[in-house]
Amino acid sequence: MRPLSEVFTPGAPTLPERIRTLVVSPERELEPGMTVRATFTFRNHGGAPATGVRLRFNQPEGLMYLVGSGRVDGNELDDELGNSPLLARAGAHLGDVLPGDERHAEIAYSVAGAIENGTMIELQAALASFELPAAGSNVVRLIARSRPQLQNALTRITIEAPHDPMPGTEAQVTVRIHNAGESSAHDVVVVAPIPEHTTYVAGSVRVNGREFERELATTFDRAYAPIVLRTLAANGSATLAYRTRINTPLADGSVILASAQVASQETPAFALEAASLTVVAAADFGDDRTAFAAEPSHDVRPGERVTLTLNAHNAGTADAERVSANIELPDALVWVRGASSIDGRATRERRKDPMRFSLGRIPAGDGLTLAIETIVATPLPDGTVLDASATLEWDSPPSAARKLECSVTVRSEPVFSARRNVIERRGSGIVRPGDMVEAAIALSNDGSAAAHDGVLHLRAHHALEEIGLFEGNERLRLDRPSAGASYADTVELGTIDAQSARRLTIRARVPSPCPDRTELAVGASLHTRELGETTLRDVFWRVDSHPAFREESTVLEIEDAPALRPNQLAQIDVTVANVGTDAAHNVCLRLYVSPEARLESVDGATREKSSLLFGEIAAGARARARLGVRLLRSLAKEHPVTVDGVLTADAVLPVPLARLTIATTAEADFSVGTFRSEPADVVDVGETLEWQLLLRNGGDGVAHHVQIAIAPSDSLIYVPNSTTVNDVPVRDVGALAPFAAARGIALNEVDPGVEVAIRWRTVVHNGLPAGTSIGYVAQILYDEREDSIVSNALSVRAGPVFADAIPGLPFGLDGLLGPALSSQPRALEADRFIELPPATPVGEGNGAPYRAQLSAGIETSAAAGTLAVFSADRLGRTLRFLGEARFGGLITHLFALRGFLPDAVGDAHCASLSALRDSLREEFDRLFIKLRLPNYVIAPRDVETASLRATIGRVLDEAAAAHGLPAASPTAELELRGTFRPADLRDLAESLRESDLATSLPWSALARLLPDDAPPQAEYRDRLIESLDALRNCDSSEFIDALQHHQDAALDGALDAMSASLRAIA
Amino acid sequence: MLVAVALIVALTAALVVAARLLSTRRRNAVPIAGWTSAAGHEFEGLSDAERCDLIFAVAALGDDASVNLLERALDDPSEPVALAAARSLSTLGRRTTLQRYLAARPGERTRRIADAVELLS
Repeated sequence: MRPLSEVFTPGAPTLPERIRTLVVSPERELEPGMTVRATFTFRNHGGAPATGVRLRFNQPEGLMYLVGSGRVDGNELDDELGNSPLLARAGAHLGDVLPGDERHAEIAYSVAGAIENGTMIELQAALASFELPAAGSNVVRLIARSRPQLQNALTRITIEAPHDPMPGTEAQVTVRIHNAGESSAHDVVVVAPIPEHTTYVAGSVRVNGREFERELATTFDRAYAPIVLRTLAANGSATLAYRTRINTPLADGSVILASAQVASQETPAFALEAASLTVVAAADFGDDRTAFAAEPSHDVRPGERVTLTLNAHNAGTADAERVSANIELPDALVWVRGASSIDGRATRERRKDPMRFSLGRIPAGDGLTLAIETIVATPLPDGTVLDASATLEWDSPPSAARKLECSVTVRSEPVFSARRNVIERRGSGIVRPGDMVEAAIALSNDGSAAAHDGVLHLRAHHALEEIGLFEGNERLRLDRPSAGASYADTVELGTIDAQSARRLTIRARVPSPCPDRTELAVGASLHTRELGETTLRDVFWRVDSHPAFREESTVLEIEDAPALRPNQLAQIDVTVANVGTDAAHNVCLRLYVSPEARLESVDGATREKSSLLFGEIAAGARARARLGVRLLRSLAKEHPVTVDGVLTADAVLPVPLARLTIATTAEADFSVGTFRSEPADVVDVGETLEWQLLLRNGGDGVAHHVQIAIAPSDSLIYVPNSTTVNDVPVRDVGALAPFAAARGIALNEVDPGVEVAIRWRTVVHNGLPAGTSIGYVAQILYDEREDSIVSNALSVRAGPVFADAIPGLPFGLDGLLGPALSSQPRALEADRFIELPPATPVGEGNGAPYRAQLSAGIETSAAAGTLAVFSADRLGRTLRFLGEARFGGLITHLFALRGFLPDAVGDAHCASLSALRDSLREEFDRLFIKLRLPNYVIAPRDVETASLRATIGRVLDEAAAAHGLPAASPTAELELRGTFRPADLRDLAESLRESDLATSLPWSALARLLPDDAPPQAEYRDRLIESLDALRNCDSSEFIDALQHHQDAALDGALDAMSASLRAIA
Repeated sequence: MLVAVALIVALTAALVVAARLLSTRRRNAVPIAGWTSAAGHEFEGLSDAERCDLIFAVAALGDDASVNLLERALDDPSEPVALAAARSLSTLGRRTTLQRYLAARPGERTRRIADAVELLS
């Protein structure tokens, strides 16, 4: 299958000729501008419609479509832009062509204005459809007739020069050939001889800008009548161009003629009108080769020699006669006699008018050089410009002259030589801080011009002080600091005349302090407007300086005066002062602290063991540090702490510092302690009490002897040997507790922070009345001090008790009940649960297929019966199909006809029913699918097909002849029966032969075959027949419109009722 | 000068008209179903209803090339067109091919097509 879009493509063969109905006018030959008309007629000779038919014509090269000429069956097809779909790739869409239909297409072309003679034009049409591959028409072949035309107004020759046509210049000859005919010219020949008085420029010939000479066997000027073009297309042009050089010399006004002849295979030779060029010639000294110059011309010093050179070159095309040069010089430029020359040869000087030189005749293209020598006078101001001129005169003819000028720029300036402009130191080169230094500055201008705006910049060492500048006894004022300087260092000297001198003196003081071996330099630079910066060399002094420390200014001091306690930190300030004139390096203070104390922290210096490193201390500067000295524990009261120090540094003798003495003190403290009991608040009589006394040496000194004494209480009975000290049992003293004895509990050497825990037990006396308060007081004696610690107070709880009243005992007991054991909890028992059996309800008829049992009584007289047999699956499918086919309009009910078409009519076999069912399914399923498209419009072809028409006709014929009732189906699950009058169908079948299927008649006839054995079916059938009969007079378009848009609520309701009743059965 | 101005005005008007025509065509353009190009360039740009007609016409041929075309039409952007292809394949007895296609493309659209084919079979 070859798609229509692939035919007529360039290079593709023509289609086989299958439809020989293409007619073209003219039939054999055509000429440019002629109109070609093609008509194509085709017919559907088949028995089925051809759908999607497309027709396409080819468009051969050389033919152009005539807009508006493309027609099908007389209807114009062009779009808005004038394009014909008959020539489009996809062809023109012609819709469907029914069997026997004939279609007619025509199209016209215009032959192009330029077409080659003998060109073969092939015209063909192609036809295709959805069902058929592309088929070609007969091929019509036409031959084009045309000829070229070279002799016309555009074929001509020209000669022209880019500028004035002077001898020696080039001119271009151009031969333009134009083909004004309709076909190509072949083997175009041009005869173009080189014009007289000119010479062909080798390799310059071009044909249409392309090099041409290499195609010739010889050079172009030797070739006669070469073929310049093999083919010159219609309306095409070609250009033959070459360059010639005008011979020299040549008289002014000479004429150059250019001529040519043109011919081709189709055109005899003809001559072109000749072109001419008039030559212009003259002498000329106007270009750059004629010049007047001075050497040197810039920065010429007074007294320097300057050479003036006049170059005279005849750049024209004619000789210059009687050429002369007249030189004019300024006063400051002195001419050197006897030094003038022409082309290097000395020239004779005129006595009168010596600055005028006769140069004689200068031929065209020739020249000479005149040189004269001069000297710049002195003195001259700087920048003086000396102008000289030379006037060149000649007879050409006519007479002409040219004045040329040149200039010399003089350079003059002052000079400050290094030999005579210096700074000299006065006095010794070694100085001490605070000394005065002095130097002399000498300035001398040795140049030929004065120095203006003189400014002297001093460069003194930044440490120098009291800088002053003097000229004689006068102190000059230093105005402003220069960039980067911190002091005024500039003095204006004004103008320094040529060959004059100035002498200045600079004085300054050496700073104190000042680092040892410091190099102190003083320099200067002179700035003038003409010379800029002139630097004078520096002079130097070396400083002799050292650091120093004194015992008065380097000390150890303590901040707080009170005595130092053990573990307390004393803050000691160290001050180190350099009273010398130089910085001290590696300053170190070595400390000697007495053994009772320890150097613990250093702030402000680097600690290295017992030494403090201060590093570098500038002259006059101080370094401070703070020391932390902690007094150690267990210190005797009478031993003060001493701190000594020795200061050392580079280049300094060791300096011992004054000793620092710090007073110290320490003592014990037992004022804070805890004394409590358990229980703490209320206690029953007879109950045991646990006592605890906690003590701690909260002071900073050692308690050498501590005595702890607690007086016994009458309310408490001591439990013997229950006393412990720090959980160590302590034996009682007789019947008394250790703390209740005369010496109490004695402790020795209790260090600060040590804790003492004393515990014992007592029993509350049974005879105490309720509410009695119980407590202890502990006395602590240590190091001539005494502290007391009071225990918590307990309240005694007591109540009445009756003897012999204890239940549960078979005898009386004078005592108290003890705690009774609680009953043991009862073990948990396991939970109980009950599993119910699953429910299994069983319904009636579950799983048992239901068989519908319907029966209807029918009248058998003059009527025949129909039978539609449904299985449950088919019935469900049919109902679902009807539910899906609700597209609105009457079309829904045609789908109902498809669904409930009977399987049997009458008591005989009706063979056409099966074919009708298949046809209805085929066509209506397609329509069912199409109606799912948005906005689809039903067309008559959707319901009108030949096979469907034939099948309906056969069914109606068989139904019209039917009689009796169909036999029952042994396998049917549902039987729907109906009755009809065969006579009615006979009439309808007769009418169907004259009607379209796109009318109500065939469908009304089929509706009579629907079932009516149940009321819903009967009502629906009657209403459907009624609705279709009401449209009996509608034509095809009206019926199609009703199919899509006619709304009948009663009919739709009847269908719903029938569907519902059947769905209930299903 | 007047001629040049007239030419510029005419050229501008022609460009405006051409742009409007192109935009109108673009608005009326139908979605491109790539499978139609296999049948030929002239079948590109067919409307949905025309593609349905093409499917029914091709299905009537019943050859292998037609079946291949119908398989490609199953991917048509229009669901009714794809349904037409599916129904044609079913009618031609190519249920295996159809079932394989439906299984390879699960989804709501496939389910609807399968239901409709089953309803029409």
